[in-house]
Amino acid sequence: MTAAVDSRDATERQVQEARALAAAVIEEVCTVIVGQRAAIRDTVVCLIAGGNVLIEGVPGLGKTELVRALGQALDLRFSRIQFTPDLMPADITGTTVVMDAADGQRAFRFEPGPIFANLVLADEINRATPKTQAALLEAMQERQVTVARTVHRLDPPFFVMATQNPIEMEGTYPLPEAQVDRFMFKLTVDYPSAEELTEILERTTGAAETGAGRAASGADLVRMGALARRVGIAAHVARYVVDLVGATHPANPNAHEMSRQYVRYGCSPRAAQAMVRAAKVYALLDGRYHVGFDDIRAAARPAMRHRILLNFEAEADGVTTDRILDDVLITTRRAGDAAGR
Amino acid sequence: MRITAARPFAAAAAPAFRTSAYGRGEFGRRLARLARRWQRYRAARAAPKLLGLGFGLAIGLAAASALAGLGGLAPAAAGAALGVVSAALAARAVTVPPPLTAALAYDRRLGLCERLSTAVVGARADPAMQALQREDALRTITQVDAARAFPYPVRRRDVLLLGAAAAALGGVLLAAARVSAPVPGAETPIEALTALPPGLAADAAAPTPVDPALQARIEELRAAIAELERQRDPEAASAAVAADAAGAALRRTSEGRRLGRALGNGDFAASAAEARALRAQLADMNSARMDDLAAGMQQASAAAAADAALSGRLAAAAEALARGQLADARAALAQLADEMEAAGATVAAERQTQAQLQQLARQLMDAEAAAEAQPGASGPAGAAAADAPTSLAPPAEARQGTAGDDGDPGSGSGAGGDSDARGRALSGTLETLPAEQRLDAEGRLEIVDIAPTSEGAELVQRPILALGAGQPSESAAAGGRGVAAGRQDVARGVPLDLLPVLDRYFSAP
Repeated sequence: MTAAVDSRDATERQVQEARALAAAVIEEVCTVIVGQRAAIRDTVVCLIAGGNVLIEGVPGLGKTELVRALGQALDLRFSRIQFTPDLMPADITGTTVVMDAADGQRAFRFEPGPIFANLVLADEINRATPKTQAALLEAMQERQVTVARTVHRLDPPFFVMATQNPIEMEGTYPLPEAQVDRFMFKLTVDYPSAEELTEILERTTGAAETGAGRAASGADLVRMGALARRVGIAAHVARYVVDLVGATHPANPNAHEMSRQYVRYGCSPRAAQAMVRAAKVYALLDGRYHVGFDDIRAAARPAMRHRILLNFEAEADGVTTDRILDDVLITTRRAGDAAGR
Repeated sequence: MRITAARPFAAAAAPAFRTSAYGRGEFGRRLARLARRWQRYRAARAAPKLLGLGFGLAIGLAAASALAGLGGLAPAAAGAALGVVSAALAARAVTVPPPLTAALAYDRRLGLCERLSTAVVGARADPAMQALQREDALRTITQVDAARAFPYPVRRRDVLLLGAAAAALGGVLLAAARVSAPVPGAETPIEALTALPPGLAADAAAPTPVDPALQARIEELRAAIAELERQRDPEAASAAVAADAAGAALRRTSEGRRLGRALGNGDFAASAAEARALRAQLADMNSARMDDLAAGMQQASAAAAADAALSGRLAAAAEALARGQLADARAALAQLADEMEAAGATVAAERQTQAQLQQLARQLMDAEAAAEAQPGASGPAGAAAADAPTSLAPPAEARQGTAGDDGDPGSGSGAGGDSDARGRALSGTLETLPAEQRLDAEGRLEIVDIAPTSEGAELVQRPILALGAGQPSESAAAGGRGVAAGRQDVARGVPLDLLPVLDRYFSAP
């Protein structure tokens, strides 16, 4: 009985600490990045949940700066890879080189690439060739790299934060579906408002250098992730996740009308997993011990928008995945929808 | 990490019907209270529709019952329909909803982020997290104000509609009751007359002889009254009423005040003179005075709609005055004066006729009284009274009364079955009447002596004369001296009488 009470008290304390740490990280990043508070929060949530993030936005919106500020706030080893068409896989993973030993002999030694960091920024990931992009696959999913038949574990925490530019599609290589599916969230960064732009000018054109201070550590991030996994989810809430994913499948009996018309392939089970994992973090940051419908809805768009493959008709009609998801979220019924009115 | 669930999802979502399904803990008890409140709220929300349906059903059933000739069943049918609906509503209000449904209702209504519903069904989490979640839910549920979350909806529109439905149902039930209610006297068939004892039936059919000279006098008076009635001018009354209304309208204007006063007094000669005086003053009037007079004339024209001729003249004068054309206005005022003189002549003739009618009516009444005073008189005298001027005499059936039927005072024309009642002229005042005297059934100033006879001590069951003209019958109990004539369906309507109107408007100011 006492052990149970102690465990409960410890858990409550951990939840409060996690809330405070996450809030501190978000506030610290916000000292560098003006606006984009939702994108910052979603990015932090994704990191706590242990997922990789794909950030999409036109150049100059601070995507790279966001990732850099996160690395500073979390005190993580940070590396940046600028993806170009001539970038080779070994440039990412590292390679084996011949080294002269002290005894005069020569030996092979693995020289780790920039992937060996806690926070990897894959800048303009869609500019590299699919072969190079594929070099990230194993690292993103298995948290390991295999070079010359030797498996190298990546130190936790490990996150890949990729950015891509939705314009200037010439000379780019759209990410293959298998790789896109490995990103937990796809976030879109929009233009700042006039007030935010004014603030950006004041911060970045003066003499003072701005930078995020340390608010948490990589170990904190790992603990927060473990704590988030303990957050409960009720059956009727989990059912809502299933219904949302099912609504994007054109062949599903409960598919949304727009999905039937415009979707070629719906969301994979990874989308449901991502939603629940992220929803748990949202609940944790809200100080709750269970997942609610609003947590699921908050995670639905970033977790599903890049996992829906549209057909030609959608492209012809200018229909986006966000528009489909908006409709799906509106029409998919939750338990108690009728009771609360 | 042990994964447990507080309650199987299906069990939590299943219908409860009893509060024990909510569990015995503090959370369960509180949630059960909230669930009952929510259920009552749902019942209240559904009440207008259900009650409207019930009222519609009740109205339909009541109307159908009435149309089918079963008006007596209408209240029962309506009550049954409303009872069924009310029972359904009551059942809905007291039924306990499933715990999960109730918890979800409050979660969604108050934005509780599924705290209550998760506590009901349990979350897939380790025990520490589950315990924290249930504590959180308990803290939350203690702060829930069910009355604020689900206040009973009272919409004015629904109340009005239900009130209208109730009124409609009441109207239908009343109509059904009238359809089913027996008409007074109708239950006694007209054939009952044939069931009279042979002697009584013969007596009832046989007319009683009256003094021939008196009867001739009555007939003469009746003929004279009928002739005068034919001479009456029906337009006289409307002319007087129109003149009074026009006078009232004109009195409100400065220029037409004198003319209005004369009209209001019913003095048509003075009115014509005033109209001619106005005609003479027209040349001296400025436009404002003419407009004032025109407005008064126009209002008087509208008020005098009962007399088309007078209204038309007034309107013509108003129009001419409004146009400011003196010649037309003079001509119109002259025509108005002529019209007033003509109306005055009509009214004067009518007054003379009325005076003659009143005189003849008094003579007729005296003759009738004399005829009735004769021993054994009945029938013809009473029948003659039916032809008297309606302004002075009540309808014939009202004079026949219900003597002896139910103990009511006997009529002037018939003696009570158990009494020897005779009418005579009143001498003195009402206050000086002795106890054994009373007014006649019509309330006229005629007293009737109540003198029970020694032979009439024995009560005799008499048949009641039913619908139709009163049939005279000699009462056996009255020893052949009196005749009782009566009917149950005595009309109690006030006869249309123009004399009071004429008296009011044509009497001295």
